[in-house]
Amino acid sequence: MFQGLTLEQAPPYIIPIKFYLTAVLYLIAFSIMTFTYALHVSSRYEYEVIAITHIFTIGFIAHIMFGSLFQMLPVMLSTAYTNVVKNAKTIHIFLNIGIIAFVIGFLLNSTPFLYLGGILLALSFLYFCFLSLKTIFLSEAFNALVQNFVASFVALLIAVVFGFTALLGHFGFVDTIKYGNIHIAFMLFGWVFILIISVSYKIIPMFFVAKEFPSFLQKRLYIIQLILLFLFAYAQMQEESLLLLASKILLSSSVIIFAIFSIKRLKQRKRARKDISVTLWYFAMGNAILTSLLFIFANLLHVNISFYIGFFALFGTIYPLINAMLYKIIPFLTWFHLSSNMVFDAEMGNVIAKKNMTMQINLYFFSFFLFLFVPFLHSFILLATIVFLFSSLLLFVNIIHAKKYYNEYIKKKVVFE
Amino acid sequence: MTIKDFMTNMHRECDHLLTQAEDFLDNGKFDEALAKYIAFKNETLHHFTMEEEYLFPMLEEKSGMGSQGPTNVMRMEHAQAKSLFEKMDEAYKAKEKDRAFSLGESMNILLQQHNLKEEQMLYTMMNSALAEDAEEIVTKLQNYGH
Repeated sequence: MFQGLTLEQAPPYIIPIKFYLTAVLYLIAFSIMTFTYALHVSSRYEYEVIAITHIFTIGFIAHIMFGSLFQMLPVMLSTAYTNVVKNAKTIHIFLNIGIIAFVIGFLLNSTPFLYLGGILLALSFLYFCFLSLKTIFLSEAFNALVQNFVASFVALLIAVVFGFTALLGHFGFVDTIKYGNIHIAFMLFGWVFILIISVSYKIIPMFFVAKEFPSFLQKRLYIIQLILLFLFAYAQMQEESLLLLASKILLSSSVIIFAIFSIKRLKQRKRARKDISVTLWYFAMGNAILTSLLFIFANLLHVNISFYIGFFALFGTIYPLINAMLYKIIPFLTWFHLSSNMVFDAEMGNVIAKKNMTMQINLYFFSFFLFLFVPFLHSFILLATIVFLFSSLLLFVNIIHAKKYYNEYIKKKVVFE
Repeated sequence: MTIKDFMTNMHRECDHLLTQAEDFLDNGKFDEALAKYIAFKNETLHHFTMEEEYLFPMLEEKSGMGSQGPTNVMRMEHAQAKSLFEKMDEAYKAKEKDRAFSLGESMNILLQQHNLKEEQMLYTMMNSALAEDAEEIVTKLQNYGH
């Protein structure tokens, strides 16, 4: 039942911030590793590419998602995570040792490191799923929002199982490519996509004072997506090429439909003033449509453009959405935690300087633009990566600034005897 | 009309007034922006008063939850909003556009997440716990403070 979000029930400020800062450290590592290996790899199946991809997906994306869910799930469901400080700390430790071992395992082709990394990552994800599902069921609500969250966690559980099985394939037990493809599909079209739509259904109307998303989208899209993912998995395992093609096209179509509705909702928003997060949101949704179309055409025409699809999906769609959300969430969180502690001097606008946010996002746009030239001149990847490294460093500095601002103002907290 | 419908509609009206104030501000029409902002502030404070003086005590008594439950959390967030109004007053009166937008952003997110909790849980509880007197309560709310 309703518990509200008192300061005792909300996670301490440091929990989401620690996850965000760690995430950006992996973004920096991603830039350095891409710079180091980019000129020497040519296939997505090469171990260096798998290592780099997972630094981005687990190191960056998963940290951001975990940190945000620890903060947002209680607000959206009015139910707190149990023992949040201890559990968040445990997951953070397991996740980090897991990623580092996993990446080392791939880079050195080391079986013990791969096993250690795989097991720790699987445990971190499964434990986070368990905690989140427990929180959801404790809320005793089962509205469309809750159902969407449950669906995203179901997809995550399946993705972890297939990912771990694919890892075993590296030692010859199973067909890695089949299991790996199902793992990627459940991660991207399942966990990430359904989580993004779940959050967007609330965030877009909330932050931009826009109309709610249509009810059929909120209540049906996640079901359709899960059914399509199961069909995809079946077709992949049974090598049913026609069903596989159809499920890929339909999965991509769901993304296009959602992206179009998001753009429409943003265009009709009441808070008409355009800020940088709106620009990033449009950019991400545009890239989501482009990625889906590329994926459909690549499968219809049997062309191998998986690098470009991966680039537009991860770097063009998911990254800018996260960047946009970070610049909405962090200043608000900082201010909210301070004012909840009766510190009313703080102002959200001073948490991170607007010009620093704009500069960081412009660096990201510039690096994205430079990446587009890579197919014509491969060495452009080095320049693009350097620019993105600066963008990531500035993002780190901006979040550190928010934390410093919090530390400085929380000292003014008045403690009543 | 239920209590939830009435109070939710009031939330939407407040949202609309703030967006109108910000539109004027964005276009450099400071006097019109100030007028809309004042209307937004008055309507929001009136809404808080309805809840704190009339609806919350009634719900606390009927449900037996007391004043330390979810209504207390809502009161704390009202206090946070009131502290923001003081700063917004300064910014609008001094025509500090960027500061007014930034404070408006805090106010908007604070109120939206606050409204979400009220609309999803608290007003639903009111509809259930105060069902017998709902019609009379809504009539009283319509004329509250007039």
